[in-house]
Amino acid sequence: MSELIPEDWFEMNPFALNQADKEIKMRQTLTSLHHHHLQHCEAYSNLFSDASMDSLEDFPYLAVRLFKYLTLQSIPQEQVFKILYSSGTTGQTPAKVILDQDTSRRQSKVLVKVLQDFIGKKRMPMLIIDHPGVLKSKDSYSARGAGIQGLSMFGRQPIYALNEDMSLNIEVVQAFAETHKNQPVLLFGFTFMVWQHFLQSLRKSENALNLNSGILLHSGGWKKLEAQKVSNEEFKRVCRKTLNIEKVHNFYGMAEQVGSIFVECEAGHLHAPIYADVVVRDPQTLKVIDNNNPGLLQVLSIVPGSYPGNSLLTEDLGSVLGVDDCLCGRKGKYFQVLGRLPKTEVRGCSDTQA
Amino acid sequence: MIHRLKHFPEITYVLQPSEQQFSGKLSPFSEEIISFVNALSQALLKGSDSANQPNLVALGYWLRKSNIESIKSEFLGNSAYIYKPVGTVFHITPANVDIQFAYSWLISLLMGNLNIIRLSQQESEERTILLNVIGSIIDSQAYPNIASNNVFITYPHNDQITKAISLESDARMIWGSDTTTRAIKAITSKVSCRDIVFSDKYSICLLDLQGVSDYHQLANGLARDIQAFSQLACSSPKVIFSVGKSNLPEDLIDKVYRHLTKENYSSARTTNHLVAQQMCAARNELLKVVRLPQLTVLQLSAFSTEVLDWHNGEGLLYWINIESIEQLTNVIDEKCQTISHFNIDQTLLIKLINELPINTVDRVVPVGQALNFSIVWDGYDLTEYLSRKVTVIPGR
Ligand SMILES: [Zn+2]
Repeated sequence: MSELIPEDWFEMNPFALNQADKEIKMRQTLTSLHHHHLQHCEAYSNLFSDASMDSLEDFPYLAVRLFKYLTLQSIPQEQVFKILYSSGTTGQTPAKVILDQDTSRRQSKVLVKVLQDFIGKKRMPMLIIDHPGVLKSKDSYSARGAGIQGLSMFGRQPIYALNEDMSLNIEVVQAFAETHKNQPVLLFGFTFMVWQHFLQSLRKSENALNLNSGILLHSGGWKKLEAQKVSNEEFKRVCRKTLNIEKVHNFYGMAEQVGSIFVECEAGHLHAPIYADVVVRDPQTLKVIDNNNPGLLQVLSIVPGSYPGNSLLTEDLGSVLGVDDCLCGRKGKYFQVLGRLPKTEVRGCSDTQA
Repeated sequence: MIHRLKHFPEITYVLQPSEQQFSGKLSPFSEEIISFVNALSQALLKGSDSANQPNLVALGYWLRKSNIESIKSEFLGNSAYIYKPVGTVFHITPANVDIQFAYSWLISLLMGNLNIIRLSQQESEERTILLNVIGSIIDSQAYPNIASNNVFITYPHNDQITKAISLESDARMIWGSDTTTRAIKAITSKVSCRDIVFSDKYSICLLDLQGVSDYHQLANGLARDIQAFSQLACSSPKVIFSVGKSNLPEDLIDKVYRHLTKENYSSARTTNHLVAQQMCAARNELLKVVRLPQLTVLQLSAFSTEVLDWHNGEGLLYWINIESIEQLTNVIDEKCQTISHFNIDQTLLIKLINELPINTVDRVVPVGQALNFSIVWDGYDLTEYLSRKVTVIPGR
């Protein structure tokens, strides 16, 4: 299957191609992948056997929720290497994503390529804003565990900032800051954890750290922070004040489309690397809408080969902010995520809360 | 009881309760009740706010004098028993059918009960209008016993409060999903408390278009049935079974669509319908899609109850052609509540009900009446369940 996705994708700088050239290249690979899934995934062929693909925007998309209900795969069972489960809230069916070795390898490669563009090639001492127990359940890959594991390879000697009960392990954190004073360090955690269990705990205990050469990467969505009316600006302000960190990068991605990683640049914009793209659609008509207008995000990626996840209609809202002209110098589309579609999955005739 | 509720600061009173204790002075269909219900009916039918709300007009119409009188005479009939209220009734009411609480409450009120009505925390325009109407009639002080015997509250998830009320209640009307109902049933209640449970159900529509040339009445009725409560009520049909015809009658669908009045659907509607469409297509069951601004119709090659899992209302119909009515007996499960029908012979309907498994289908009504409330609901005769029969055997 590797011939479907030429290796030269992964040799290039992930932000060097302008949008027009990138689309031509992506369309070729996506078209081969489309035919591959038509042949090897029955559900996909039932859905899209007569789809047309004249442009990236025409490319057929799967509603992301289908991964909750169906096992979608385009490889024989013996090639299944890893099954990824999304972190649904308790009681909800998690999404299920089937990976083979090639897809998994490409996912790691892409992650390295993209993140290195933001944090450099050198492995830094790493502080993980979570507790070590999150990795313990080996049999089921939780998105949180997988995220931490994926990011760990960018750091050295990872240290966990939290205790099992989510309280702050202040001694460990202070020792980390002291040992690596004025050195580049990497911090990673899920947005809500970082805010609630790290920044707020530090603030409450009136502790501040000096990590002036540090970089904080965080991901996982703003839903819970939105409820607390915490904006990205506020988040960054508190990081500056409490950690003395200037370099704070949010990134957007989802378990259902491995390898799609959109990192926030120095100008505060999420960037699509050459392996992936975003299209914004009207939530009512699903027609593509103009830049700067909010709508549903469709994400495209050349990374998945073992399952038909190359083009997905998400339930996230966002808008494209520009193409090829971000102040940071990266080419391609840049965009913002504006939250989720309000949940309206309802059960039966009534949903009283117990 | 009302005093005990004051121990819980989490409780919000949706209508300010009277300071008086429960009086317990009402009996089934007593004069004060009948007069109150009549006043409510008039206010809903004539009020300037409620007159624009079809669900409130339907409630007002259902409460009209003649209907209440006929329920009363059928109930009291020439029974040998003396009827008394059951006592205190705790209504745990749904969020997505926002005025369902009123039917639950009013039936219980007619039987003379004391009522604690727990409303969902989700407000809506029509619910606010209804509560204002009820509040203003209660405030008129013409109905002192009703004012003191009915408490409208809301509170966030709190088992302690639910338990405290359950321990004082003689009956609980539980409207909820299976998960919620299970959770509520697990909460300790008064030993003699009767639980009347309205769980997850779905409804279907059965049509025979053979020989039908004018779709006007059918289209109007279907639109009525799917429009109410954004098609989220159990009684709204989600599936249409059409006997005998093999094509999707697009002229009928177009007429149904024209009868739907503009509604503000949620921003997730299109995605929800897309999920249903793609799921059916992925399973190779999708034959045809008709997508109109207010209505999506997915024609399927066969029906399985799984397709209901990704049905989230807001104008989505599954359409299935069947060769004969008998085919239904194999596909309907115990969660089917209402069959609305059009152009189906009555003897065939009775035969169908007799052939279905013993625990399915609670109502069979003509198209257009799927949402009409009735005192017999989900198989319960609510007047019976919300009252007590007192045996009085005369002696010497
Ligand atoms: Zn940029």
